[in-house]
Amino acid sequence: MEDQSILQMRNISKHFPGVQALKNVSLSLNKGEVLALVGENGAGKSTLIKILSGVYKTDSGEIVFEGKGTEIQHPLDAIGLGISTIYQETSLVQELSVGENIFLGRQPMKHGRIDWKRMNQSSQGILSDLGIKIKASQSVGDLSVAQQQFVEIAKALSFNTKIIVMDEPTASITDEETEKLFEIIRKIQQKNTSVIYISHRLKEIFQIANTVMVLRDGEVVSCNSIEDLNELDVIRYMIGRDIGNIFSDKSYECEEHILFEARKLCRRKKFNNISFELRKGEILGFSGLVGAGRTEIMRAIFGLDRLDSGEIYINGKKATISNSADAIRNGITFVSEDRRLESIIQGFSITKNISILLLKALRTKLGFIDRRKEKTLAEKAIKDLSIRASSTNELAMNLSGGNQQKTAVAKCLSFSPTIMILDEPTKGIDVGAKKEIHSLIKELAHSGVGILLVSSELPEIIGMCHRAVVVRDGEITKILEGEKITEENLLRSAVKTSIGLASKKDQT
Amino acid sequence: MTGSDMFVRGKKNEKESQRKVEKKLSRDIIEQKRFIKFLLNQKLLILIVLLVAAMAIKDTNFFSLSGVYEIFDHIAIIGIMAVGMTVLLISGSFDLSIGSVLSLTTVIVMLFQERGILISIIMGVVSGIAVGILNGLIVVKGKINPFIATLGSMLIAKGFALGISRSQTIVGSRAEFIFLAHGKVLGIPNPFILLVIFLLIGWYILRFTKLGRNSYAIGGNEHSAILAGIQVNRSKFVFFVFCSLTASISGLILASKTNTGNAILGDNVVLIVIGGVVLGGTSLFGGRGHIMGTIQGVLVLGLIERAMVVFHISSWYQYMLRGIVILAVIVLDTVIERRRREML
Amino acid sequence: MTGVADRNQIRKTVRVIFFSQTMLIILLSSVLLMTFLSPNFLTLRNLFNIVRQVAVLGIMAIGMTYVIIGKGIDLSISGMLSLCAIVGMKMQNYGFGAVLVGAIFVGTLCGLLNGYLVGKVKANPIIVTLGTSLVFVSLALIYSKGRSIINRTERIYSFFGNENVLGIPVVLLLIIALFLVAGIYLSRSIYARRLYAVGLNERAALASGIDSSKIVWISYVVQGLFVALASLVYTSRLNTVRVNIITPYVFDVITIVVLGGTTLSGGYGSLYKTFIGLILFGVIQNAMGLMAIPYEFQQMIKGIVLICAVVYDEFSRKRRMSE
Repeated sequence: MEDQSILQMRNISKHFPGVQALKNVSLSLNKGEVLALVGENGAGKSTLIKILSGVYKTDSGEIVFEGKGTEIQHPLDAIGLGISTIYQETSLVQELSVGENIFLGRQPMKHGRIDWKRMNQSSQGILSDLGIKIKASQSVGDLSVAQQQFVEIAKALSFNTKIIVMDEPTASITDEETEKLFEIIRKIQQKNTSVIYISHRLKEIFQIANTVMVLRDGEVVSCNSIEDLNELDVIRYMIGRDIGNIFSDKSYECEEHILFEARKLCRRKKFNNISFELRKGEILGFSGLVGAGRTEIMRAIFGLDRLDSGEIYINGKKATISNSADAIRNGITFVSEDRRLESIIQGFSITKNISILLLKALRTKLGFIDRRKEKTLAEKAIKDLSIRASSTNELAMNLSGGNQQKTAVAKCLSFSPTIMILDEPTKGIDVGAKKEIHSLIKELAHSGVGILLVSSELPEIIGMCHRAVVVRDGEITKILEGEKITEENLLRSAVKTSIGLASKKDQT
Repeated sequence: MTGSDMFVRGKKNEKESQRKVEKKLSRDIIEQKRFIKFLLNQKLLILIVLLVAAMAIKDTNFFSLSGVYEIFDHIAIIGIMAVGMTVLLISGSFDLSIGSVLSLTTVIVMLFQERGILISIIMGVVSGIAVGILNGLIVVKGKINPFIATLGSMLIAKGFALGISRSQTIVGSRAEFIFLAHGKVLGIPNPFILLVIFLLIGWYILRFTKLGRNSYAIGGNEHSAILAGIQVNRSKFVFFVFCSLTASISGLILASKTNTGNAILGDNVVLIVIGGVVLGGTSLFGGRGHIMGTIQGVLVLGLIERAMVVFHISSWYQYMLRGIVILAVIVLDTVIERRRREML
Repeated sequence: MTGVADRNQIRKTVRVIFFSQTMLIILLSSVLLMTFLSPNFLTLRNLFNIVRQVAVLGIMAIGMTYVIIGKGIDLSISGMLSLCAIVGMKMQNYGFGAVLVGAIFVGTLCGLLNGYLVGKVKANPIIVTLGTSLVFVSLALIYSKGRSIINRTERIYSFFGNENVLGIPVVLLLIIALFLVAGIYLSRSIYARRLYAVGLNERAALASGIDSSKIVWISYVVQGLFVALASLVYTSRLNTVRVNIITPYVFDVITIVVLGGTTLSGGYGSLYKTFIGLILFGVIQNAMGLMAIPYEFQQMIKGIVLICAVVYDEFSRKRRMSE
């Protein structure tokens, strides 16, 4: 009997500084099978497929492809084997035509020059084979997102691809286009090509996948045929971790006064109809899966990105924020998700980083910066936040990740902000520093600062927040409060299921 | 149906209709884009027609052969360089040194003329290729930003030209050399023929060779180009050499116009070339461009310059207009690119 | 035991000094070298000559330092200089005050234009400033009708360029004063701190509420201001000024800044460094003159020096990044 297995990944482990991304993950894929890979943020899905597509190298474990052990060291290796990956960011060349993109780098030649006719005919053939109604001579730049994805699939197939990996393919396409995509996937299956499909849209997974594999914290939690489970089971597999005692108490209440109100914030293609309130002393969490649009919302509030429509009210008065300087003037500070490149300046010393929001306040009579005051400020921050550095003059780039983050937080703290926006403040930071930052945030809230906390770590949201806003695909699906902030509720609101969003008792 | 089901369905309908509106909007935008692109192309042609008409009215001699030839001499020199620059820009690189290569070639051709016309031509072209190789090495191997790198090679080439010419204008010893610029084949001036040849070469490269088509990929999405197995470094290197080569050929024509050469002839040339190329639709940011657009852009600029002469505008105002046109073109390109990035 | 530790400490300190003051060491060594090679070098007269020759370049280098720290570059200063000089000279009929105001006004306007295009529109600085250079030069040509303009004979108009005060050239005092003032401003003012931030990492600067467009814009206006001041010295050194399309000042000024150790990639540098670069440049140029090297080869050598400095700068930047 012919061996149906096309891929086996055995005991794959991958470690990054500060975090074990994958622990002994094993995966097996048959020809013509559609395997759905599910898990919340940081579960390891993206690391796993990056290892498969040659972007990362695995620390240990082996990859067996078509029965033979192989090493995938570079993206070109993966492509050579027949593994194509379609990411959310398009990899097509916008100015070239569909046919050219399909045959990029290997255009058919005749008499020493490109044979346009043959290229268009071949690519049109591939397209119609899959039922894709696009003309091969069209320019890719004119196609919609969904159509570009179809082209990428066609391109992958033109290579004799054996496995297509799709990372959140339905993220920005309509339901109709999703149906079209599924038709194409079914056709692919008929050709005995396999698909690894990453998505958080359980409804779709149950329409298209043969097998579902759930990852959690870098480990495989379950791997079942689609007939053996339902959506609820999947959600339960995704969560169900022991929260433990990382967080002490949230016993204090926040005040009633509304510090900040967002009304119907909207940005084309990114988020829509975002409305919420922030009270004085409240920690308002923003939960949701990666790509839901939380960071985009925060950046728009802070004035870094534009807002197409909507209004912001601070302390009851309408605020116009057209750039980051406006936001700061209104008392809002921001710690970016991209710690290394955006929340601190690597080439500046700790002192210079911390004082950057306070330059006007640190003025001497002549209008220059008072270096002594600056240094005192930095010394105090280092002590208060336990920043480990050899001196205040140490360059930020020489600090560890956790200490860099603390510097970024210290910068905002020194400013005595009204509202603080924290985007993934403890991502990639060791446990000790995490705890310290958490208590800092709580102290801040206790002193009356309003905090918007974007986090992909459910325990963090549960342990820290008074209320939690769940964002999915650019919209708010639910605002949970107090006791209702549980992993199950957070996750249910964050994924797209066909069942209701309530937290009713479930029948099995 | 429970309340929450209706709630879910209602929300779904709302999203559907919103998505439909977005789809129509994006379709409209795409149609608008295509129409605008079409219009822009026509805009240049219209400009050309207007300019020609204006000049013909002002100066009845305009359509005389000598008038036309004068324009085409100038346009040939700029145009040939524009072909090389177009290919290079599409691939995402840039070359500031073409002006110095132009001058250097004129100097070298003049210096070698005693040894024979053929030898002088060969040496001139070789010097251009040498600078192209230098550029390619610095940018590709040294991984230095092409702007800074070609700024440097511009200085080296100019300094070298100044040095070997002792800041003098060098007069060629063989008067026959002017046949290159002044000769005719079947009644058509040589420079025009060369221009057409290079336009065709450029068009062919960009349309029918892998190298040419791949340059769009390299400039548009270099990561994808690498993944597609395209030899990015080798291609970029070739483009630099090609660009300098075209500058060299232009240098030959320029030198042959008056049989002289000096080191400062090409000083402001790079701006005119870039102005024409970007005006014709090639973006400084790479990934876009066509030879057809380039020749139109160069024609427009050339006609503007000619028009200024016909309308007796002094050369100082010409400089200023040149500067303003360049600025306008660059600003437009930058704004368009920024808007394009926001759409993504 | 302590002896070994002390020696290591000394070695470390020496290394730190050496790397941070590389250019100063090179400067001192070249001065030493020149003193050996040419007996005329170390005379006061020669040294004062060096200062006079590089004065105009030096003042322009102050503004250029600001621009380069902000990750920009300005290739239009030659044209700007001509324009400021012509306007200044035409104002001589109305008194020195008018000259000062006129030149500064023009310089500031030019800087506003450059700054707008590079800072607000965010177009490529190299191409934009090449374009504005053409505009400035042509304006100068138009205003001067291509003719030479002659200085008035009052003493004030040659004071800055050619006069001495207590035996010291006025230019030297002027340069020191300007470098001091601008240098202190660059190291201690709020604006300067923001400028360094923008040059180092524009995204992070934006996230810290710094209006990067405005900061960059202002740096170009500062450049315009200093070019205007330089034009005063320029016109006072020459008796007649005639606008020329070809002036190589731009690359000399950039060489001076880069030679001093300010990197073209922004965020790093100081006027102290530029000052050393200026003196070093002056020494090199003077040396070439004393050794009777023909003008063209001087240009070529200066070009090679610039390129070496840029390459070395890129090289050490890459090395610093990877550490």
